[in-house]
Amino acid sequence: MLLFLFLGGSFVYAQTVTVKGVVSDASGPLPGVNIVVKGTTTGTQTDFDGLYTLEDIASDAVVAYSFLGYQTQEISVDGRTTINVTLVEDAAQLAEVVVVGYGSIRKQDATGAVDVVGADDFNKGVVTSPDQLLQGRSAGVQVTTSSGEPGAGATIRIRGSSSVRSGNEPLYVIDGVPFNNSSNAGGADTGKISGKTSAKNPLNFINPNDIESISILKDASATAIYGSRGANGVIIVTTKSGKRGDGVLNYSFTTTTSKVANSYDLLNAAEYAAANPSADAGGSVDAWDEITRSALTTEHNLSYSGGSETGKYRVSLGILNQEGVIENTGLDKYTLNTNISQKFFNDVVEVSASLTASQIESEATALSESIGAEGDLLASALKWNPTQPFINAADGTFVQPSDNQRNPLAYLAYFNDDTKTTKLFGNVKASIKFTDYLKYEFTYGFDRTNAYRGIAASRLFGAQITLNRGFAGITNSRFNNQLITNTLSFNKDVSENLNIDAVIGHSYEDYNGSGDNLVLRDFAQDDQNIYLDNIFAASTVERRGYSSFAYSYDGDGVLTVGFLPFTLQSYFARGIFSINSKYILTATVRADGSSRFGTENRYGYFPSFAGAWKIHEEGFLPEAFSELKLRAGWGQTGNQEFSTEAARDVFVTTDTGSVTRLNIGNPDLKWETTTQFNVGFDFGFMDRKLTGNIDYFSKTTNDLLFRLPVAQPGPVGSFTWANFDDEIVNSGIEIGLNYQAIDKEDFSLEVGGNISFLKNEIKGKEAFASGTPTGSAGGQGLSGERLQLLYDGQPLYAFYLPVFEGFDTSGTPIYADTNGDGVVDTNFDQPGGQSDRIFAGDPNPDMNVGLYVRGSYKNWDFTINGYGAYGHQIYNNTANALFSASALNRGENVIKSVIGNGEDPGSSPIISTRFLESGDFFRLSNMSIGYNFDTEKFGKVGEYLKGARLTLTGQNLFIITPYSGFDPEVNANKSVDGVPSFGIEYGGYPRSRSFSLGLNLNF
Amino acid sequence: MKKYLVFAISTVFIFSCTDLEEDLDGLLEESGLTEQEIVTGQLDAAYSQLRSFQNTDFQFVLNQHSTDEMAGPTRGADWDDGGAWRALHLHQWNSSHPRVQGAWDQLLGGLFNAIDALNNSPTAEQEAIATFYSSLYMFSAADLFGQVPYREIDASYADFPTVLKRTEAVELAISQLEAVYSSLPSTSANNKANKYAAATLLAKMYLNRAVYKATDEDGTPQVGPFTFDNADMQKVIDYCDDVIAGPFSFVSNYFDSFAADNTNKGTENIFVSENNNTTGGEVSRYYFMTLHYNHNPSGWNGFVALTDLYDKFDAADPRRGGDYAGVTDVSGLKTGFLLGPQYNQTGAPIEDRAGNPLVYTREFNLGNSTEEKGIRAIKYTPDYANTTRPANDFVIFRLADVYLMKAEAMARMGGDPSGPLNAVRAARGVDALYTGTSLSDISDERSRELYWEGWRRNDQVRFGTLLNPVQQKPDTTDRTKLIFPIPATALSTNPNLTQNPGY
Repeated sequence: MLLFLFLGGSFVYAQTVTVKGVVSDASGPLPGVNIVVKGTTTGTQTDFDGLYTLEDIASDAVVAYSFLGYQTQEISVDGRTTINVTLVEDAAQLAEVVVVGYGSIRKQDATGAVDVVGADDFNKGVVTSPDQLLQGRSAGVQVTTSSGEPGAGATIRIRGSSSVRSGNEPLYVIDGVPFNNSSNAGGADTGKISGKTSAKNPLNFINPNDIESISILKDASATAIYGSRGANGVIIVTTKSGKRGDGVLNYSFTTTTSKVANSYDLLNAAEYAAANPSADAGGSVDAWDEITRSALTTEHNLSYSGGSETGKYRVSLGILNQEGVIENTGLDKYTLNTNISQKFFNDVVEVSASLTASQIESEATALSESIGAEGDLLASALKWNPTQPFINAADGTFVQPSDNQRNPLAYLAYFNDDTKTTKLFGNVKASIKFTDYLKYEFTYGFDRTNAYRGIAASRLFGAQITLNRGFAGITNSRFNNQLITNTLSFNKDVSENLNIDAVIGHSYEDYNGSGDNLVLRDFAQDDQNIYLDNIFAASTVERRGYSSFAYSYDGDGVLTVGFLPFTLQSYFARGIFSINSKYILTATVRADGSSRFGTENRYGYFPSFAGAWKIHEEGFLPEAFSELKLRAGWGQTGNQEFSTEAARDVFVTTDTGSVTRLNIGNPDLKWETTTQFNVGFDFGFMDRKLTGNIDYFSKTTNDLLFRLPVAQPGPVGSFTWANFDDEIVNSGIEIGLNYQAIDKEDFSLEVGGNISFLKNEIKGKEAFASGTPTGSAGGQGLSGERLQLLYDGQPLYAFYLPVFEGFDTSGTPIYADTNGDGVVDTNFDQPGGQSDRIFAGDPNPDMNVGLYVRGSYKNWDFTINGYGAYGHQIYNNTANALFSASALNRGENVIKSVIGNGEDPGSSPIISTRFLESGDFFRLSNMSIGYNFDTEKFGKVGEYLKGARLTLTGQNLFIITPYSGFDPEVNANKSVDGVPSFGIEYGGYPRSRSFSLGLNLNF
Repeated sequence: MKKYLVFAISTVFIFSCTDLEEDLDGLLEESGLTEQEIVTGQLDAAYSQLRSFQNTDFQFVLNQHSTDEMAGPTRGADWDDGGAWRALHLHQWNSSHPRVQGAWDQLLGGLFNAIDALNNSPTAEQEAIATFYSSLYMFSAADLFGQVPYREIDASYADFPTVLKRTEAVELAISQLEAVYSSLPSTSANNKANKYAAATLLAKMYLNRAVYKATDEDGTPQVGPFTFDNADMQKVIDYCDDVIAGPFSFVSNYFDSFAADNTNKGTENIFVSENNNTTGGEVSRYYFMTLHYNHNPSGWNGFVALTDLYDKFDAADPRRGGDYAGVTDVSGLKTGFLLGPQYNQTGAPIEDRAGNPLVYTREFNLGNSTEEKGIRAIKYTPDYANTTRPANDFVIFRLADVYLMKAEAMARMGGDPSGPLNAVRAARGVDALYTGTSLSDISDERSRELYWEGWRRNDQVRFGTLLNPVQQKPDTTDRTKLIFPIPATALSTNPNLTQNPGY
């Protein structure tokens, strides 16, 4: 030590010194801090203990200490030999690290359109799946939950829909592991018992409380690193990990009460009896009241985290018991999330592991997307004659009038639908740092899922196909997905003016699944619970065992192939070149080989280029600009979401044991290519008090993957997949703004929001030149009707309908003679044909907005989030099917406005613009008030309790909309032959309004 | 340092040689199957595809709603279905009509299965069976659509199917079927392709040959009257005689042919699409499609019989229906035509949904009918053991049809058809009516005997009456409606197809 001092001293006289010291932050020493002597290439990093030594530097040098997420400090040596530095976390900068796939960058270095939504920005309240956290939070990201059911699936569109098939969902990457949405309990079709029930949200297995941040990659220059899966954007979820320091124990508890937010204004018994005296059964009941309830949800989260210089850990346990606002529905979710990491051998080797284990048990009832004249629970309740008692007074049995008027209480008593999904999702990573600029990383990721779905209907239930027979369907699905990734990353200042941040890698992904399915009928017992527990009680059994999870219980011989195994092998490389910290160039390429592609097109190549110019670094901008960055990028990405068997000749075994051809293969089949151009500015004014971005993009999808019915003679109901010359063009403008109005120690106020404009068009050159109908209408007398037509020059899912002009004096509906041939023909025909249908609107919003206000005052804080969409139409299939004079006439209940609407009860309410409504809405999605207790004042308790917080949150507080149904934000799955629909409301689970009280304790 | 790099790079490439071929669990690829497996599988599929004849969404409704036997009135909000049923009755269908599309896909899908079986080295008997199926599907498609896309045996699936004109298709079907006729099994098992079924099909094709020949150069079908070749008519008689000499006999109760246990009772059924309670089938539609909601079983309250049909019967004709054991005693439901008040098994009136007695009427309005309007008809009786998956086999060919074809051929040759005609009437217990050769009487007798069985359109075209006005169809329609349009999607998937004239 003395020697050191002496040596040190001696160097002072020689005008050079050796400086050493410790760099730390508030919680202790910081390893890996970059230390550079300004104006030289001399530099070092701190070791595990935060120690550093700089030898032989000028005694008047200036040393810069920088570390990601901390404010850089510059300190003059002034002849000192020991300089201890405490770095301060840069909150703003920390939040702006963007995980971009196979690495992360600072947002200010990003060349593409990327957005980060951190935990603070998330929506508040009961959130079952992570996509709900994002609703309205990022420009150009539209999240539409399919219904208000707990755990319901969602439609997520980043910059619009670019495919005409299903497969418009973005790619999810969870802690570096791409996630396959199909690894999930599928929807089920019980035909005329309850119709087709919807699939659950595949992301339910993640506990939103475990999410640190979500990065959204929007443009091709950002998503090209995910190649053939990047066309719909990429959502990267990063789960929380431990932080260095003493262990922190956190417990939070939330209790929530929910009620149906909006309901229909149905006739009550007296009104009904007056309107339809011949159907007056003398009673007075309210079916809607009977099937809905005030629901209680409780949530517990317990986490324990901490870390040392070399290792970090976090373990969390979550329990969610969510009741649905409709009887017999709900979801119990148990999650365990563990993140650990440890460094070895002087930080050369780092090993980390991440695991999420979840068990979701959900209970559903007979709510369907495909109900016909029979109706499901909801339709049965809405149309139930309110003068008709539910129970026969004589014997206490249910009144079950007919197959087309089912008793909603009998539905509740006699129908079960249980889903149990167990998932293990995680990864193990190991990295080796060869030098401080070269690192190799190996990742093994896995997703193992077992899903059970059991549906049973009692033999007492009055549906034609269950009465005196009973029904049970049991499906078990198993998924086993694995991934291996190797990356080599390089990050170095290769010269004074040039930094290169590059990564190359290889990945191999294997997606596997299988399942089996039992259909049981003819039970002797009445209690349907026995059916699922004792399959031997059934006297009729059908077994199926396909790798198929879209199955039909009563469709004869129709096999819809859902998920099938596939493998994907990829090579990728990305280089980010930063010149003078002013100009940044990014080049990316990925080669993807997929077993889904035809043998003639095994590998696809996806390049992208982007550049950014930090104009504010040039020095010629006025003071007011604290940031101005121009970004521009171009890239190509792909979409390979299509049936695995599409490229091949495939046969299937039938229930008689023989084999039949399912598909005629197409060896030329390949991915769909989306070419996207993006230009944007990031800006900040007044010391970044006002920040924001504006982006323009244009993306064109070609080699459109679509299936046309096979040219007959061919396998019945079969389709041939091919790439077509048609194009889908999406273009739009996105603006994000944040204004830090007040930023004081104990008073802050922040407002912001985003707005996006989107235009979508099909250029039908081949497959869509003559139009493809989709969007099947449901309900009595509406069989086979299609509401939407994919057609050249129209937006996707454009509504193609007869134009309703009112009723004539006799109450007969009048429809416009739109083609002017003197004959009104409302039947479907292609545009230009004999029929009078026009493109009457489309369900794609022209404009989406999201707004937020956040603030704090002393110990109080609050958040308000809202979002809306404008310029689109929704088809109210519920009203079309249920609320007409004809429906009242046949003995069903209707909404009050049907009385006196001038409609002849003998006329038929066909599909038309009569039921097409504006879907504009603005929703106050959540508002939360929190209070942080001063735990120091708690005396003895305060020694252990480091923090305590109480929150009150309201969700879905109000919605402003002209839409007359439950809610304009809906999306029933009314696809036709695999062509999806959008913007049709039909009997969806109603949304609820909720109030939550939460307590959060830190120990 | 260097050695680390080498390690890293080699690790990267360890996985690079991995094969991308993925096994499709649960499905079979071509390579995994023997040719015999494909042949038996496709023959099985070709037979299963006959269920499309049972289904009321495919060729059955094209062949019935366009005729003087059946209609589907819209009833308020019920049964509008985009005007699909009205369009069929009024002959206003277009190339996007869902039933037109459905029939096309189903018939040609069956044709595909049959040809695919022939592609894979069948035995002589299998070849004969496959050829019977392909002939049946080709005949049915040619009859409805006027042209038939066809894949030659061993043609590449990548090529667009060639298109046969109406006569080409039927000539090919006749020649192919006659070539294998002797190889077909002479079995009385009517749930398998057999020689008698082939003879019936050949008789049908020869009987209609003149109709198909009468086509304009552009494909427009002619209205007739047609010039029936005596040689063709003699073929009809010969093939009919082959069947009549076979193991089939008339049933004692007309409705036994369609009953739940018609597998045993249906002694005159030559060829059926088989059903049982496990695998189901579509026959339940035949009572659901017509019965009111409040019958047992609860129906869909849809299709009605026209008075044009009902009024063809003498009051004493047992084919008009009546009580049937195992049905009427269970639910009060009778066979044949249902008109007037309806009763359940206790004799209590069945009510409509508003609570009034259900009384079926003769009249109905195609566009706007209340729920009790129209005469209903029951031929396939409900299988009360399982009303949704009844065991009634669906009849494709039966003996009475063969007798009536023979009678017609004799009449068209200028002979006296009264022998076979009165044989049928005698079997039904109605008076021997005929001594003359009135073709319209034969047409009427075919309707009385075969109503709602899917043959009426074919018959009415041949007798030149399809385009005439009937109940709730006031106008005579254009002759282009004698065939259906090629579906729009078919045109877009096969450029060799051209749309039929008038569409």
